[in-house]
Order: sequence, then C-alpha cells, then structure tokens
Amino acid sequence: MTATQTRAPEAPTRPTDNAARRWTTPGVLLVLVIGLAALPTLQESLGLDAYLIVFGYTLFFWVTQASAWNLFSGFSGYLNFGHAIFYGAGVYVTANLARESDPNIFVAILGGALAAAVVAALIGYVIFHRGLAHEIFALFTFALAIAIGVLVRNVDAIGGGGVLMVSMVTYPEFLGSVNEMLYYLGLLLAVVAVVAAALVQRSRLGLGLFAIRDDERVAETMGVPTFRYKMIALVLAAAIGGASGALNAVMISFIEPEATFGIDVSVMVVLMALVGGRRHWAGPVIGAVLMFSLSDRLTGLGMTELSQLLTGLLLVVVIVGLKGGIHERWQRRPRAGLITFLGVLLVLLVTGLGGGFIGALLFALLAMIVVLVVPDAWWARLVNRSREGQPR
Amino acid sequence: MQQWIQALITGLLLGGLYATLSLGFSLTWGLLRTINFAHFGFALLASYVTYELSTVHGFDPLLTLVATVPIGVALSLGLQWFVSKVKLDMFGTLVATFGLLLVLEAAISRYWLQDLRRIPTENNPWLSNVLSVGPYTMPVVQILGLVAAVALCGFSWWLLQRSRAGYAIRASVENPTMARAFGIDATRLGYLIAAISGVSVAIAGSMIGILYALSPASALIWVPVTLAVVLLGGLANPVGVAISATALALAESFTRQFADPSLAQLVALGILVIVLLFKPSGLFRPTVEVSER
Repeated sequence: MTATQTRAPEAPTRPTDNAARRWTTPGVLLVLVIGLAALPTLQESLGLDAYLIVFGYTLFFWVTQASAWNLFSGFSGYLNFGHAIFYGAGVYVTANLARESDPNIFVAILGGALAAAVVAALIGYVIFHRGLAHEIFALFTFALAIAIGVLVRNVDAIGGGGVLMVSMVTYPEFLGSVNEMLYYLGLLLAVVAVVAAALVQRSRLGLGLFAIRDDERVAETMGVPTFRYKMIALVLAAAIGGASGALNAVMISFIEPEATFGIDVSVMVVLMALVGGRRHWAGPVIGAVLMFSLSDRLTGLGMTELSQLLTGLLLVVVIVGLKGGIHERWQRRPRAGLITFLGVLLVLLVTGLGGGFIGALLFALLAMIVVLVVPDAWWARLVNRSREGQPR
Repeated sequence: MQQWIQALITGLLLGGLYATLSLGFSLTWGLLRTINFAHFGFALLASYVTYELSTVHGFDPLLTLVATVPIGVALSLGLQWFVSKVKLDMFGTLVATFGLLLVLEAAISRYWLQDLRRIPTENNPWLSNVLSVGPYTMPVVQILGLVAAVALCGFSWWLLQRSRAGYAIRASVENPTMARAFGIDATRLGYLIAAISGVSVAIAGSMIGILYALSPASALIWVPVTLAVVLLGGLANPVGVAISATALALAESFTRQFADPSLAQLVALGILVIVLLFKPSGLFRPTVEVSER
C-alpha cells in the first residue's frame, strides 16, 4: 500500500525519446511500402518468380480485408461472422458494371465502397438501434451472408442468373499489365486499410470502441455515444471491405454467389484477426501474412481439405490458448521474435531451403511464433540459464 | 382451397423438422451458455451415417437412429465436457464450435467426397411411403418426425418447468453461486441438457438424410432458419421453439406454393429481421432471464 502511494503518479517524460519512438513504426512501414511498390519493376532483374506478383496481390487483399474486419469487430468486440456481405457487395458492383462495358477500375472501387457502406448501415441499424447482444450480431451476420448468397443466386438483376464475368477493366496505362495493376492497387488499399485502423485505434472513436468491448453498459453510462460509434466503425470497415472486393472481382473474374458470399472470406478474416491479435492494428496484418502463406502452400500442394481442417483446429486452439493473439505475445519479447524471423528468413533464402521466397517466409513466421508462444515461465528459465555468470 | 390446405399440411410437417433441429441449439445456448455452431456439423454427420448405413449396408433408414442417436449424444457430451474443462465464455464457444464445424465438414468431405449424396429409392421406402387423406398427401416419415418433435419439445418443457431437475437447472443458470451453495450439481445437469440436445440433433440429422440430398457444404443451409427459430422462440423455451418453428415453416411453405419458390429459403430470415426491428426480445420469453449483460 505504502509503495503505491509513494510512487510518482506518472513516469517523467522524455520528449526526444518519445519523438524518435513515435516515428519508428511509421518510418519502418514507409520503407517497407516503398520496397513493396518497387518490387514489380525490380522483379525480373532480381530473378524473382513472376508468381510473386500474384501472391503479393492476394496477400494485400487479405491484409486489407482482415484489417477492415478488425477495425470494427476486433476493436468493438462485436464479432462479424458475415464480412463476406461487404466483400461481396463490392464484388457484385464490379460484376454488374462489367455487364455493359469494361468499367473503369476506380469507378468500380468507389462504387463497391459505397454499396458496402449502405448495406452496413442497414444491418447496423437493425442490430444496434435497440442494443442487441453481440452474440446475436455474430449469428445474424453469419445467417445473413448465407441468405444473401441465396438471394443473389435467384435475383437475375443482381446475380445475372448464376454467373457473371468480369473480363476486362479500364485503367491508366502506367499501371502496367493487369497483374501489376492489381498489385499496385491492392497495395494501395492495404495501406489505406492499415492506416485507417491505426488512426481509428488512436482516435476518440477507437477509445470509444475499446470501452464498448470492455463493458458496453459502463461505456454508455460514461457518455460514449455507443450507437453512433458502432455505426461509424461498421460503415468504415464495410467501405474498405467493399472497395477491396470490387478490385478482387477483376482477380477472380468468374463470379458466383456461393463462392462470393460463402464462408471462406467470412471465416478467414476472423481467423486472421484472432491469430494475429484483435487489440491492435498490427494483429490482423500479422495474422493475414501467416494464414495466407500457410493456406497458399497447402493449396499449392493440393491439400484443400487439410487446409480447412487446419483452419478449424486453429480456431479452437487460438480461442482456447492464445486469446490475445500473436501480437500480444510479440509485445512481450519483440526482439527475440524479430531476430528469429529475420535470421530464419535469411538462412532459408541464402541456403535455398524452404522452397523459394514464400516457403522461406512461411517457415520464418512459424519459427517466430514458436519463439513467441513459449510460456513465460519457461522463457524466463531459458533466458536466465544462458545469462548465468553474467553480473546482474 | 385444396392448395391452401396442402401447403398448410406441408408446412406443419416441415415445422416438426425445424423444431427438432432447433431445440438442441436453443437449449445449449440458453442453459449451458454455449452457442454451438458444431450443432450443424453433428446433424450433418448423423445424416451421412444414415446415408451410409442404409445405402451400403441396406438397413432401413429409420432403423439407423439406433446408431445416430448414440453418436449425437456422445458428440454433444464430449463438447460439453470440453467447454466446461477449458472454461470458455459464450463468445469463445461460438468461435471454438465454429472451428469444430469446419473440422467435421473437412472430415466428412474427405470420407464421402464433395458430390451430392442421396439414399437410392430402393433403399429408402420412406420417401415413397405416403399417407393419403382425400386429395391430400403426407409422407409418413415426416408425420413420425412431427411426433418426435412434439415429444422432444414436450419432454423438455416438462423437464424444465415441472421436474425437480428443471428447477435445479434454472436456478443454476440464473445464479450459479447460490445454486451451488444449495448443493445443486450444475455439471451433471449440464450433461443432461447436452444429452437431450444430442438426441434431438441426431433425430433431425437422420430425418435430413432420409428426406434430402446431402453435400458437405449443406450443413450451413440450416443456419438461417435455426437462428430465426431460436431467437423468435426465446432461448431454451421448448414451447417457443415449437411454435416459432411451425410458424416459420408455414410461412415458407405458403411462399413456396403461392410466390417465388426460390425465395422461400429467405422467408425465415426476413421475418426475423422484421421482428428484430420492432421487438428485439423475440416473441417468447426465454426460460431463464440472465441478468448479466
């Protein structure tokens, strides 16, 4: 008791240190983004596989979707099990624009964002205006995604009687081939999604959402406008998801209701955010990189069922044993994680083990996770043993 | 007029299936605080077992209940054991059981592949066994299903509202600490509820196997209607489940008969949306009103 009373209420602030620290993460991310943006131009001269461009786009797609999902669901605690509704709204905007003539991709993306935002506002109103419990939100969105799939299948004005084709879109010439265009725009949307999530996390809105997640009644009593915050965040998340869906329609090109509104997207984003961690914008990014490289390798080996089995098992394992996600573990021992990741990645790339860049990335991530999830007690013992003999 | 009565009969019989399928989901949600997505996986597994035993081994499809009911009960008890061991909150159960559903689905599509399966007509006497009353027809197996639904809902109602075990269950959900202080063994009662849920899901699954074509992805078709039944009927309220299942099935049957049949699947969810807009608490009271959150 006395100890807490004598302790100074706040640690003294060190302005220079803080400023340096504040700009570290954005700086690192900026360098990373510039490096990624330069990749298509450098790809041939570096001797990298052309598949890397497609892999990169799909990775950006998942980072965008998982970050968008987390922006509402992770921060507020309202688990959305029907994110495919928003994604699909975007997909179907492009698909319907493509019926008449080749649409401009930017028009399609904006249209997709708008359509998803409208749908989100309607859903949000139905659920939130009377303050329904969050389990009901989860089940309702899940059921709604299935029902909308049925609706689109049967209403020709939206679904075109089953299948719609997106063969070509128009875009400025400097974006290069279709795959390169997808890569650049995918990267752009991923940056938008991650930055939006990071900004929301630091804003009043984000604080309000965290308060809702911790205890909505208390938040309400403390004057957090819970209904408005939930609506804003849901609509924002949906708009990003819809924009990314509109772009992805070009990638899949053969558009079917079941595949679009099915559980693949809805479940994958939940899993990515859960694995990575829901309380921080970086969580879904980590989760998306890990889960997508894993499922890409498994699908590459022709093990789709195993991939689904693993997805299911991971959901169980993560919810039982890793509630804060990888990001939370990362915060406990960032240096060990980073060193393991970079070290394993470098060794695998130099020796050529691990089967190319994607394989090396996957194994490096897995090694990092192994280091991160070692329970604290064991970790302390390991670290202490290696430091024995050193002066304390 | 004749069409109306036929649609009424079809709807009533369909309501039996909906009630059987939804009862377990509602009971575990309302009384065990487990939102069990794997419920649909259990039903799917039961229907595939019915398919397998009657198609490959030539058993009467109804007789396969001897196998599916124990499987359903075992799975349900196993899940309840797991959930109480790892102490998941309601939200955790939703995610974990969803993972379990994916695992079951993957296992089923590994064993029975992705193709549409249906018990061949020569092995499935129940599909053509129809009771005709005047101009109206009703499949006998669905009449049996309706009887089973009434029996299950009736028994659950009696158990919860009239038996000593029911008092104990309701008390331990409403106030676990106080109930324990009075010597109520909530764990054993939890297994009882899980067992009832397992019986009903197995019966529903076998019915689905007899009546419909199966594919691994078809488990999810039942989610919207089950959710609508459970939310309208009030959590763990067997009478509410029976009534709202019947009402939704009737609405669906009339839509199929007199409007666009392809949209019939959407009727249940449409009604749920309308009710949520105007009366978010559903149409019936839950068996236990839990004050927390």
